[in-house]
Amino acid sequence: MKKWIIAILLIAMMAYAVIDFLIGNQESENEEVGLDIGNVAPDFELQTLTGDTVLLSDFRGQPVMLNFWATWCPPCRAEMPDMQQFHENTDITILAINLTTTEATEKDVPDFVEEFGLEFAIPMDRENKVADLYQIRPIPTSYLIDRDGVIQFYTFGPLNYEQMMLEYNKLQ
Amino acid sequence: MPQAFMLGSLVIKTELIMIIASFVIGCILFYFLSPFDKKQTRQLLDTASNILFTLIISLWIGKVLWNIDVFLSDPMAVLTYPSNTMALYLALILTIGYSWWKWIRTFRSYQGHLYVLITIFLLASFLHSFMEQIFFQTSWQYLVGLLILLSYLIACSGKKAPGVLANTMLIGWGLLQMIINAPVFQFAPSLIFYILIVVLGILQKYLHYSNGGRQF
Repeated sequence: MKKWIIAILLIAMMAYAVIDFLIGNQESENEEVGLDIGNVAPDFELQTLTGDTVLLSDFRGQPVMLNFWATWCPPCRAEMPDMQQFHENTDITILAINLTTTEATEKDVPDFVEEFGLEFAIPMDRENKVADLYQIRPIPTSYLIDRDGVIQFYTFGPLNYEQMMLEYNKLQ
Repeated sequence: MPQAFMLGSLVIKTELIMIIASFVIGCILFYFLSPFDKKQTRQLLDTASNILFTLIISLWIGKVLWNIDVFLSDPMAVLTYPSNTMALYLALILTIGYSWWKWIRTFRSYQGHLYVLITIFLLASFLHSFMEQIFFQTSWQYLVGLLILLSYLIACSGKKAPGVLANTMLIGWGLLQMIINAPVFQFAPSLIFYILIVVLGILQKYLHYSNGGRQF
């Protein structure tokens, strides 16, 4: 008897999940500007380490990964080689936003970039404006934004290469 | 559902809570589904929880071994980093070796433990997949595949030898993953891994039947 109660429970759970999925697909996405999944990512403009200016909305039409980091953060250090590999193997644009106000000196950033051989853009958040805009608390924090500028995934803490690829494939 | 909860400076990922909850509920459900008597069920669950705990420790060891150069220069960087699938492979080898030496030792005992672990794993995978679907709208195909496997397992539990059922589940899950290739909790094993699982299931079934198909 217990066996059949559990079996019915599992079937009911699956039915609920499928219905939830179908209803979820019918609902139009809430394309307000915000920080939740389904929201349009807030726009910002920053200068990169190399002196270029990046505007998030300029990257519409391509997937974007926003990563908030600092040189003193151990998980950020661990994540960087995987982000570089992710950058090399996909067409995603990585904007690794450095929380410059938390660095001991700004010189630490180019040293770090050279040490890890990073080739993606490093926008410098020198006034903490973008970190405030995205309400960053723990770092690293990452957002994956689709070709329409909509947030499809975000996470606190580091991601490894497999997890990055998994979320990237969902954007396709 | 937020991706993580903050307790002061501590970040607790929702994914981690979901995985722990799935395995705990999986163990509880196994208690009610078990074809063994209560004493043996408790013993098997005790050993299964020890093996799962060993797997967690082995994942940490695997993560450190896989990133040994980074670990030597910056231990914290590796310890806070999520384990990848290579760490999982290392952890599985370590766990199987240690469990065989510490708790299992005989093929008969191995088949019984395999049944418990497979049942808990499938139940935990189903529950985890359900929560992922509800909270994060992921894929429901894996959920359907797991339900089919679990339905067969529940229907045949007590009617077929646990070793036979465990190997059927290994083959079924391996084939399901060869088609769907859904992430297994936070890991993404390769096709070769699933092929090995299917081959292992077939070989063990063959061994069982060539041994006269004795019930445990």
